[in-house]
Amino acid sequence: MNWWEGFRIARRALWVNRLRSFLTMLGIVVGVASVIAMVALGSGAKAQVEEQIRSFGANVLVIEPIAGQSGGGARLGTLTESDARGIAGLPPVRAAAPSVRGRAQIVRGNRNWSTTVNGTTVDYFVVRDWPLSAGRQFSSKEESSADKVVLIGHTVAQELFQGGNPIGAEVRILNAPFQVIGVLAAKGQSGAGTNQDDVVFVPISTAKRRLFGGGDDGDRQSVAYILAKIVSEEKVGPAVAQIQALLRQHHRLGSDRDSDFIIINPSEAMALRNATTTTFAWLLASIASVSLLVGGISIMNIMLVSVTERTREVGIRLAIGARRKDIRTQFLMEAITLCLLGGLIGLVLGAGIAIAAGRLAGWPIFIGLNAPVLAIAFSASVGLLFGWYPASRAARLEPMEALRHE
Amino acid sequence: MLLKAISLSRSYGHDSTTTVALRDASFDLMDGEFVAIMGPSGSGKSTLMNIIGLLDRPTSGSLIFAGEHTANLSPDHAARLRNCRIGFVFQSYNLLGRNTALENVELPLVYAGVRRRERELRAAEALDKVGLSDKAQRWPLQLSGGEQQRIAIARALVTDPALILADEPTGALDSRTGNEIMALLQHLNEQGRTIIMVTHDEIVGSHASRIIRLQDGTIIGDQDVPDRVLTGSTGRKLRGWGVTGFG
Ligand SMILES: Nc1ncnc2c1ncn2[C@@H]1O[C@H](COP(=O)(O)OP(=O)(O)O)[C@@H](O)[C@H]1O
Ligand SMILES: [Mg+2]
Repeated sequence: MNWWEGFRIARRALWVNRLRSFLTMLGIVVGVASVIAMVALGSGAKAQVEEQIRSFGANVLVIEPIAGQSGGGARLGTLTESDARGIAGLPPVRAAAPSVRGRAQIVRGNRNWSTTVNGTTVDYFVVRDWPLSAGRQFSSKEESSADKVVLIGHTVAQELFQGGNPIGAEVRILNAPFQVIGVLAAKGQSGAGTNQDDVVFVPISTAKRRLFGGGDDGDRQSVAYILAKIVSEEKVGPAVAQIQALLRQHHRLGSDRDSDFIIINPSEAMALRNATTTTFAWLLASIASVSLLVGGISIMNIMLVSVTERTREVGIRLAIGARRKDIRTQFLMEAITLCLLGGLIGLVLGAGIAIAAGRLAGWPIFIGLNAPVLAIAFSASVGLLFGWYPASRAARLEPMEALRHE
Repeated sequence: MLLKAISLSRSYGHDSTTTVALRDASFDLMDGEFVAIMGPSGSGKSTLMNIIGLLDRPTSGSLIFAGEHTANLSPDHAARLRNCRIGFVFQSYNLLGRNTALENVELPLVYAGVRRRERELRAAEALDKVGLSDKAQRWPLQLSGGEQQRIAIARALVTDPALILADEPTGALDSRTGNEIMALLQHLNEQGRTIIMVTHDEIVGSHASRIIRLQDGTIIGDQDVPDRVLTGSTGRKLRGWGVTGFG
């Protein structure tokens, strides 16, 4: 007898006792539902981290000054444009961009919008893999002569121009007239939940001289932060060490002094922030394993009852020519069918729970092809594992003894 | 020779509480015979039948079935022989209640590995032989006792076995229906099938061509029936009950 015949017999036996079958598979239903919800949450969280890292730019380090360390509590601290040039020259660094930052009102006609103004170099957009959706980048002449040109983020473009063409238009930043030369492609939310497209960029020279310019020459050199793009993920570690050494040397820090800067790896920080969903996924994993165990035991229990109830049937089947393995196949198929059915219901339930949890808690959810594969794999193995003993017991019955059973 | 029993014994239980159900039973069985095993209740008829049918093993003695020693038969090999060489008919029909008449008849073919379409054809053919083609889709509980037993006979026939074993096939039936079953068995015998039937009823036994008598597990008689009752199409001595339209 093949597995298909076994399935046909199992289907009928399960249908005859449908209430009992349904109750028996509840454990499997809960177990598989938890597995599915867990995987949906887990892979959703993973996909979100990956998306955040991708959107920030992969293999990017942020170097920030630690204010007050070098005395005087200067607003911008100790990092300078020459530090950025030094970092850019290190072998594992593909590009480095110094930046200053401030908030300002941007006015166009009778509309105005308060946003972040970033002063930086063309390298910034290389570091962050951030293309333009229209227009062009700063030219080197514009950078060196501190021209009043601006690149605007997607959100700013929408707020000020509402679908009109911003390229070539004039906007006023802190009352100075700027020409819009480009619009950046939309990036969406950052890992911290802020809108990355609510921003404008001007050349760093322009920002310092025409917008947030300080007085003395020291302030002219200093920057708020430096972004560095590392050539590959494996080189991030060595790059951190090299930047550390380089900056300590630049800043003439003796071995007895703490660094006056900090090197941040945002990918790590983003991965860490998803710990909540990971915790929840582990909770589901423990529910899943307990339910699958309990479900498996109740399957075994019911299968033992079923074998006892049908001892005479086994006797009849043996008398007319069933081999032991035919009997085992029959009962094993019954257990597996029961579990697969539970697994199928669990799949639907688990996906439903995951989607609901995603909606309510705002967690990212991802349900892929691995969900049905997992549901089938888990429930079939529970059926096989816990159905084996009852099925073998049925297969060991002696024909005559079984036939005499009432 | 289809079967040779040499000094078959079967006892149940351990040392102190041992029951000897069968003691030194020896006989030969030729192809085409119709043997009735007779004796009072508890005399060991079913025990002998189960050993012949390879459902049970003798405690001592040996059985040669179709030229094969059965002592060292593996369970699977025994199952194979039961499947295609032997057909069983039981007193209590032993049909599967969750399967239709046709599916019950198909069952031996399932275990013989016959494909579904051919299975259905052959099962329908067997049902036709016992005159129940019109009841193919009925559940066993929707059928009378006589009809259920005919379904069981169709199931025993479907693999075209050489030997049919019937343990009290009429035991649960009224005499009229019982006679119909006997006529059917005789008809099958006339077609060349060897039949061993257990009964404690002298009238039923008189349909056989040979009677083996058991008492307390011992064979006390083994002889041909001189005034055999024949009911089939070639019947010489009809006893007034209707012959139903099979065959
Ligand atoms: N499985 C068994 N265990 C113990 N004793 C049994 C078993 N089967 C049969 N017997 C005993 O063996 C004897 C013969 O039984 P059986 O062959 O069924 O008789 P019959 O079919 O002639 O009525 C009886 O005394 C019965 O109680
Ligand atoms: Mg008996």
